[in-house]
Amino acid sequence: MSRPLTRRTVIDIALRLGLAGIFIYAGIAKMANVETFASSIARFELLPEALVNLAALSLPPLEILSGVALLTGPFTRFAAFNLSCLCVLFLGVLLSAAFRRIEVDCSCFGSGSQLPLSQLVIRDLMLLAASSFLYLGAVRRVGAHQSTGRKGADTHKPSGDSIDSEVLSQPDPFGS
Amino acid sequence: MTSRSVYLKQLVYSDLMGLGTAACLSLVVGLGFNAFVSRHPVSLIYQRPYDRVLSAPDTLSASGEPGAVSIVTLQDVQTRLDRSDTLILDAQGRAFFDLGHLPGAISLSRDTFAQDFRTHEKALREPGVTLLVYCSDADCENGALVAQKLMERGFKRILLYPGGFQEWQDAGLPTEASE
Repeated sequence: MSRPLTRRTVIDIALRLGLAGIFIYAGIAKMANVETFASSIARFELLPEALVNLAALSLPPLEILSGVALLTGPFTRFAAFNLSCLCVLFLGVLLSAAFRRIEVDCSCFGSGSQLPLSQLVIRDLMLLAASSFLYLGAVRRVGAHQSTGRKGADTHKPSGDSIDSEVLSQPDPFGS
Repeated sequence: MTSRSVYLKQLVYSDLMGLGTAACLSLVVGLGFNAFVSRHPVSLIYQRPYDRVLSAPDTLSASGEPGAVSIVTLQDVQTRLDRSDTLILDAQGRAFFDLGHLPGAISLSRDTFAQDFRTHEKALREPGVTLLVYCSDADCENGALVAQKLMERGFKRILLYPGGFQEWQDAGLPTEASE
């Protein structure tokens, strides 16, 4: 029998779908034009040239991987954590560019994004808020389960498997 | 240490390990994609766009020979600024062009190249005109790519200014903005 949808569940589903869609699209667009993305990274002048292309090659798959993981029940927390870290990274990079008065073309979605820096920062903050909301929700679910159920049972296992199994045992917003 | 703090520590550790694993996996996927799938693979070491385009065979060369593109400096651009035989083309995105561009420049953005080209084709094809292309700076590949597209359309007299708008602005030279 299916569970009734709460407002929280609906928000969770909407955010997961939205974030996953945005990051998967952004990752694919960047992978389709790695040169442009590498040039954008280089323009921030934060990485040595030897690392620019490696960053340009690895960030898009990380976005896609995290986006896909966000859609799957077992890895929601990891995916939300990864996306939050990515948003913090992007935010830091954008703010450093603003501080150094570098004009940026973030290539966030492949071809040059022509949004002004302030709008890029606002967009990034919104994505960070959404991914943090999902992450904290997942953490809270695990914490609640631990305190009411198997308290202390897995506290000495650093692998995270126990936490994932607890997440799995929680009602999944997609009902999977 | 309370069980809550142990739990949180374990959680953060687990999530960081997950991030590290995902990052390593992504690097492997990215390298594999670049090596085996991508139609335009990049070298592992970054090459600035102008160097990359200029070093590619059968595209552009810096020799200045007929049919090739020549690289010019800030001083060269200054001397050509008011000459009627030089058309200055801004390859930045339209929004950046609107924010600021070289005096007298027209927008020929990479993203809207076909449309911009049609708009300015008459001026571009004026006999004896030299086309001077620039972008925001040396890390902006649009200038080189626009020059390449112009070459493909048969233009022979193309100058490329790698320093771009950034160098021009840093030198304190006059700029224009669109409203």
